[in-house]
Amino acid sequence: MKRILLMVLPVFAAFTLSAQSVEKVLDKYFTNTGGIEKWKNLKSTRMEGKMAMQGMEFPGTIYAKLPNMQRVEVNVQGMSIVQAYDGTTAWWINPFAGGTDPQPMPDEMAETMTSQEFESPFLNYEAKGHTVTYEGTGEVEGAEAQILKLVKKNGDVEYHYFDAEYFVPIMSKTMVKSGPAKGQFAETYFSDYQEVDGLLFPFFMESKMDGESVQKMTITSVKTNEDYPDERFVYPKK
Amino acid sequence: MTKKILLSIALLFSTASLFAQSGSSLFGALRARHIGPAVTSGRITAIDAVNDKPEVIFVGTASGGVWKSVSGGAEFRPVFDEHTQSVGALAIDQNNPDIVWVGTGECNVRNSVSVGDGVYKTTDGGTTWKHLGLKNSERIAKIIVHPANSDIVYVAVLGHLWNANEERGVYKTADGGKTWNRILYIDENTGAADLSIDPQKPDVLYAAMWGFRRYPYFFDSGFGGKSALYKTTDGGNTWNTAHNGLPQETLGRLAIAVAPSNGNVVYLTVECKSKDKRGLYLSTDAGANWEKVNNEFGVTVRPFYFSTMNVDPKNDSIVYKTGLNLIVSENRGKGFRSMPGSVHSDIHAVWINPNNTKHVILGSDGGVYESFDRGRSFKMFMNLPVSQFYHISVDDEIPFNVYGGLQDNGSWFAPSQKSGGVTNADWKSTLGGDGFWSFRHPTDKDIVFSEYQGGNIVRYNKKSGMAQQIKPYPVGTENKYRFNWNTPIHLSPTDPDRMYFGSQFLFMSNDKGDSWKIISPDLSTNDPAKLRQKESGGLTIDNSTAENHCTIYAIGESPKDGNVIWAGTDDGNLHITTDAGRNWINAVGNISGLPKNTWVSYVEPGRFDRLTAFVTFDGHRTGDMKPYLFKTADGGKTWKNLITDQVEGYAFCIRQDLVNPDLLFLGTEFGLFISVDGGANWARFENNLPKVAVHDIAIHPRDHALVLGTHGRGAVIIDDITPLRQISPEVLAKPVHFFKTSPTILRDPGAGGGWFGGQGQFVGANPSSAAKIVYYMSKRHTFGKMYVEVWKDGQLLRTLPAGKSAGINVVEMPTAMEKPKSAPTNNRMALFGSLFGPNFPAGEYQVKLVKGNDTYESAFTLANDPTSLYTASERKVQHETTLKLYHLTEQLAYLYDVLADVEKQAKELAPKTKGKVKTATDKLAAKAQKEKDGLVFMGGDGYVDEDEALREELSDIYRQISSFPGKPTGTQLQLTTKMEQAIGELEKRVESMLQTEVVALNTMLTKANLGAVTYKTFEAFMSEETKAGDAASGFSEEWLHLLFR
Repeated sequence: MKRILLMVLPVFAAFTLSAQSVEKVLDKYFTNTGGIEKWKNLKSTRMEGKMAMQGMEFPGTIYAKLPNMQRVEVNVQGMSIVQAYDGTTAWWINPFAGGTDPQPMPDEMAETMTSQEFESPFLNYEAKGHTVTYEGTGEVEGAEAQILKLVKKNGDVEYHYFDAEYFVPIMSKTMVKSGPAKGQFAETYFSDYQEVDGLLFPFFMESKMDGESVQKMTITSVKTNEDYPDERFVYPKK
Repeated sequence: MTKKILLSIALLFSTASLFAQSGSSLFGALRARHIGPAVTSGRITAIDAVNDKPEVIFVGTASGGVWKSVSGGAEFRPVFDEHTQSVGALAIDQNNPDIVWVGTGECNVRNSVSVGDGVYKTTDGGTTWKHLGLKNSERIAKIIVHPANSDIVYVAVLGHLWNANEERGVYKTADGGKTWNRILYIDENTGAADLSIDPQKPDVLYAAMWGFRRYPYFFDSGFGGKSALYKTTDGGNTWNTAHNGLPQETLGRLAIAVAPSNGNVVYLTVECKSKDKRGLYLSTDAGANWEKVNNEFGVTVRPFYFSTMNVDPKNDSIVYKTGLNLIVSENRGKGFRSMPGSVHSDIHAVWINPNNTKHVILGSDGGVYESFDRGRSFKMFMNLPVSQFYHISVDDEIPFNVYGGLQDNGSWFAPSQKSGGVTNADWKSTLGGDGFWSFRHPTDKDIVFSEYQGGNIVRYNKKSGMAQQIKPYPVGTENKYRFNWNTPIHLSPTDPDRMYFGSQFLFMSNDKGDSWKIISPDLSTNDPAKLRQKESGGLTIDNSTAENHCTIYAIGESPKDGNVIWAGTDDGNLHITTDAGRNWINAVGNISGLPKNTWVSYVEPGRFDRLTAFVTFDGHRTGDMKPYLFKTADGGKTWKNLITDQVEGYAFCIRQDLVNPDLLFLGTEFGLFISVDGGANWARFENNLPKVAVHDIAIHPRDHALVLGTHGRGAVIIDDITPLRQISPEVLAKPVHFFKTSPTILRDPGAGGGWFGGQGQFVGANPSSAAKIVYYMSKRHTFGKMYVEVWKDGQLLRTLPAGKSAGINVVEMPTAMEKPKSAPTNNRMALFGSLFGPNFPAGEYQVKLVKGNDTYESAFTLANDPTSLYTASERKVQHETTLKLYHLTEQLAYLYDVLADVEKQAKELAPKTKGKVKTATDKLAAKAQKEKDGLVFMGGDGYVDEDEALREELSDIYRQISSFPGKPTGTQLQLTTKMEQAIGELEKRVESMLQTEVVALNTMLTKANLGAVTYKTFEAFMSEETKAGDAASGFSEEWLHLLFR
């Protein structure tokens, strides 16, 4: 742990060559957030928290498990909405639309879920077929940031902004691919980083569209490497 | 371990150097909102749509950016906000419609035109744009993408309007914009005004080259004498003039169009001095020979302003010519018909659907219109708020109104906010023509002073809707008055009945403009070389008052001393009088670093000192694009330059804050710049404010709003600038600083909202009604917890997510209590009824900002609306009754929950019991269920198959009373009493069941070792995180989509 402490020192290095810069940013990022080995050993997470939007607040839990399984449970008005992805099928239980049986999710919604990866896309990104380029510096909420552009194997483009002093992600930006906001940038801001089992996690995330806040998520607890059965994520076949 | 990491991070914070906030990030969460008008829209310069998907439309505007629709105009979105807002040309690559080219800098080169900075390209349908050079071109007239090769693009660069420059002519790229070749160049005064390609032989192009120059006081079409038509047949390697049959004299602006369906048919409009030789020429042999076919008004009108043509893609005989009206000929130009009068005049752009050529979209000085019958009828897109204000002002109504005048779109006013949003219908016109200064009289609420171009001032009466002209005329032997295009009207800040007006002389009126007194000599240079309006235009006379010169342009009376008056002229004089006009001194000679005769664009007398003034100068009409802002503190003897290299764009206006003398607002061609240190540093305000020209700024003295008159995006409001007033070096040095906020007015419930206009109507945003907790942070918060708690009387009301940004953060606290916890129902109206909580009471609320291990405290105040029509006692009855019903709703929810709990447990126990115990268990279950089911309506379809029980009746009366701010009716109060009684009786019955049946059963169960039936206390029920289920329809698909994004 001493090493982490040392490495979180501010870094004012000048970045010149792109490839070199990508490695430097990612190196600092993994080191400062717990070390690449620890991230590689992360098999599952459970995050509990509250989502706030349009003046309302809902408690919820997000389960995630390697390779790319995910389950989101949100409590709205005493009703539990479940949204899950088992790697093949994105499905949901939505008592507000379609009752209490699991249903495949509408395509537009499924897209945001199926494009998520459990593991950081930067972990072994070359092996995954992604490309990463260094895009210089920028500013996020008044903090200087180093920008990496991630082009995923499937062609999706994401911009990741790392705090220029501490090298934790403070913002990421993707283009909305479908629905009414198609073509606009959706931005997610990260803050309130806290350590859980030797890893740093953001405990606050805010999404914005065109600079306007859409949703805020406050995490109250993170559990790592709990064992969840696959059934929790798998689309129940009838 | 955790502690260690966090501790080390905390240490790092304290050692990290404090980042002084002077950049745009200082403004943090302060955000502008736009209120239009879109009813007028504004000048459109370019339109293109995807040929195979005509619902995808791109619109380029004179100074309001690029807008995209993917819905045939039902919705538009601005996609070019980070770049210069002036667009000259736009072209979609039809082979790959995600590629769109934008040439910046409008080419309808009127006196008020903006500037561009080169060519941009998007490859993702407009989400991101890349600047691809031609940085110094200033104006681009046309972009043509090679029909078969996306990498080959031709750009017609018109170039600088006000001075010579060499970056003009026709440019070509063969590598998608990485490199450019100038393939046709005449000289530094002659640019490419139009370009047309034969799509069937794409190496054949025609270029209309134009010599032209504008001065502050004169326009010269034909300047330099080298205007000509050129043709290439080898993709631009060689060019030759193609003048056989054209007038053998100096030419002006030409417009050229090849028929896409037949490259031999080419149309050309020609400007020249000889009136009989001007007009429309036709070639049927690909430009080898020309024949004049028409010289009617519609084809010769104002060539500098209207020079584009479009030929029907399928029919070479059908040709459209832009002009005062759009005209179309269906017989190769022999005769034309006009578009209907319902379309705004001054047409600059046309798009014809190649797959349905009767489908035509046009762009005018007043927006975009679409026709499906080749221009016989049109509908307007009412959602493009690209109006161009020259000036802006506010009044003292509640809510305040915004007044202003628009380029070619008259003078208007609208409320700064309105229930449901500020709509097109909320904008009211006071005068037509071009609009400039417009003010409501300071005390007479019915009188508005407006004007149209050239000093035509009127006094408009809101009651009668009538306007009376009050322009001063020479009645004696004085010289004729010269009024600027944009003549200054100035209302005295010290005397509500005094006003000023400027020609070359300064006028003063003390009787609302009935009579005027001249209080100055000719304050201009009166230079005869600059008094040539009637000859202006070059080859075609264009005498519109737009070049009236040697006139007063800016007037300012000191708010500290009515005898101190400043007057600045368009020819660079800046006079001050300190004795109400008896003596005048020209102070401009005392300013160093200012080129001679630079236009005075704004005078802002200091708000706190009689001899202080801030003055902007604007030299862009001579090609000097630098901003100039000077301050004097001694009546003009000495001056200080306040411009730093942080300011971009020539300067239009300057305002000093009403409270903090060091807070300055500067409007330039490229946006709003703010200084919190008296002009030592500037930062552009970018939060929802595009890079649009800010021509005027008003500060609302009561509401602390900053109102911007933008030239291209209408009226823009930053609602509360009080945090900026409190910025000081001490504040900037603190890690966290709370700003004092004005009390938040509790909005009355139930006011009307919008109606169902579809998406085609612009609706301007309202200010948020939430209470605001506003603080500054010197550094972004990234590590450790941070949140805001709101407390009242020792009780925690809310925990809110905190803003984490460096600079100003705004956390919004809803002023309404959370909706009551309710029993379930499937009745739609009942669900809706209990969806809203009543307002929190007026008073002070405490704020705790928890940031890591530190807590910072502050407070905010909620206040009742002092303007409400309902008396305090009426409102008190309403509030108390609403609260009573609110609590009854929660009481009912609790009782329902208890019954449900008892029923559920009894039913679960029943199979384990026998005999007497079973009988008692079954009986209790049945009784609890019966009572519970009688309270609410479940089932049905949530719409028209519904019934109601106590829960639904209660919600209905709660909704009725909570949504009206005045005293409830007698009937409503009776119903409230009835509800109280019903729930009181229910409570007794439930209590009795709990005390008798449940106690008795529990005794038996305990004996049988089967446990006991339990239920929650009210407090336990209320503190449960989840709401007892209001099921069903309150949540739309869209909303869920947002939640799960």
